[in-house]
Amino acid sequence: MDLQPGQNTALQSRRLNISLDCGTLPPGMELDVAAFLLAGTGKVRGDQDMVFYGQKQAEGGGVSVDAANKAWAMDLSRLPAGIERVALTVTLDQGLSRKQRFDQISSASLSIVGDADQHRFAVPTRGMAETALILCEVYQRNGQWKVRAVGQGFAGGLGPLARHFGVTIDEDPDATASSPADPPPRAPAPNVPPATPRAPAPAPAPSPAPSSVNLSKITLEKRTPISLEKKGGSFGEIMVNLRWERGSGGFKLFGSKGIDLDVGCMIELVDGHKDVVQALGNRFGSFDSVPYVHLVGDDRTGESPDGEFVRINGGKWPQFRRVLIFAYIYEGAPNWAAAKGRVLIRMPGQPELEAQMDSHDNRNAMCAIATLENRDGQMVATKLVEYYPSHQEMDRAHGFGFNWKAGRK
Amino acid sequence: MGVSLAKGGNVNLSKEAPGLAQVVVGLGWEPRATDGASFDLDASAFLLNGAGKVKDDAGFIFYNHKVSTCASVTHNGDNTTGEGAGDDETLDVDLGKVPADIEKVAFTVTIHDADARRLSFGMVGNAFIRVVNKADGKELAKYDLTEDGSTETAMIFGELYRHSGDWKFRAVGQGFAGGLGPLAKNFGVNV
Repeated sequence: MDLQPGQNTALQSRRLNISLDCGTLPPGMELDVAAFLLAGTGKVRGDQDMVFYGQKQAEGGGVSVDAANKAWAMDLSRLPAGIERVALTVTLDQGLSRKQRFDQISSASLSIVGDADQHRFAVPTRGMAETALILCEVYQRNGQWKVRAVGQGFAGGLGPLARHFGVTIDEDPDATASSPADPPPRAPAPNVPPATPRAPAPAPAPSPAPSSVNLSKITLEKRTPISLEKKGGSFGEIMVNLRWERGSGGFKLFGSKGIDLDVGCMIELVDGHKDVVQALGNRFGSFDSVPYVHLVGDDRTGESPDGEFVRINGGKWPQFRRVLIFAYIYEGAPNWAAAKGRVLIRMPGQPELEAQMDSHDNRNAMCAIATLENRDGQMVATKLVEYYPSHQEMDRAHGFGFNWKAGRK
Repeated sequence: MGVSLAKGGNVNLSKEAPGLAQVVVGLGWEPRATDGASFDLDASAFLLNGAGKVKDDAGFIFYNHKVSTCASVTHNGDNTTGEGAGDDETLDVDLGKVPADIEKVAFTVTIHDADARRLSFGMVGNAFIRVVNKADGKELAKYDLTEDGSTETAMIFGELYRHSGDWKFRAVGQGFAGGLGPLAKNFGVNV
């Protein structure tokens, strides 16, 4: 049957497959599904009763989540003793910081299917400021299992939601720790450096930028160059902005050490001058003189809402041959997934470009994010997101040819 | 603990508490734990004749008209959030003062501004109605509506009614389309 918010119905099946279909999500939106196993108090017995991407199955196997498919599998006969209620939830990953809310999803449909059950709940997302929702609850009433459509939640994200169900958290995971779980440990990488450095793949021919771009933001796809046209002969001031999340040691389910991410640039000018601008070694560069690239400040924590900035003097673009924008983890274990770094490149009169460090390669602390190349006066931006163990390795791969020595900031 | 009633069930209060003179009808619900518009529920009472209608508008007791002309029913005030343990809103009924031509007193709860706030009874947790003997504070009957509430925005929770000289209480749990206005009209109030 079709359930309205608040409506409940008896369940005849013990095994249920529940899935959430939100159609095509707005760009940059990620949904995390979870389940909370609740005792008669309406609270979890302990953190083991929260089933989510970091702990995909409940004790006894009665509830499991399929994060990729936004689905849950339930076997009511296998719920731990003392569990009377299971709340199924969905949260917008970093919904608060990304300024997302559920009313940006035009349709959200929850399907609850068992051998003898077929129910649907069209979640009324219109006007919903929430970033974390309780979709439904499966519960026992006088010996009868039932499901209730809920569709209520919290504008504050996973933090208030988890607290609502009695999960102990020290810090709001929405702001600091709601990152996807680390990928399972891979086989250890060989310690022997590769005999030959990885050569950069040749960039395909630049495709012209659309003459009118409606989207305010373009996500660069890997290795797909975007050619930007000059406006009035100058690119003006090009702002490269790195943002990331520090990570938190507070919420033990998501625990990770703080991460300090730095942004930098390798620069090659037409006259052959090469330079590196980065916090390491206090090489902050200069906007008005060579290398025409200036690192503004150094956010050591990721707590600054605006992150770190590099200003590139687009007025001097004819003197540039290329700029390689990179980020490196200065402090903290490499965990790109938790850091959720992203780089925004803005310049006057051009669509904003965005590259996310989403490749989840945690072996290497260095990431080549994108290149800006001067091709006959045009600027060709190419997303790389390639990971390297060191500055040297990245340099070798991209053929700048610096002399490297250890530095500290 | 009094009699726990299921939907449609009734209990003879005069037999439960011989000599019963005054009762307190308590209505409760859980405050909203999630974000969004608060659950502002309003309890009302309708003094109804044998035809199931009010004799006049004075038989409609609600937050703006708290005491019936006969002084038999008194509304003890509006709770706009459901905060606080136990009853959220109560009405006192002096059974001896209920006029002879009044056959029953219906107790209703409506969700204030339900349409605009997009709320329904199924979203409200732990809604109940209970009848307490005012003399000793003993609970005579309780009806937990949690599972009977669904998409309704107005509900008749229960009713006190005369039966062969006794007072009985019935758990009604009947939903009603619309809010307090249509509900009052249904009982013959000019709103």
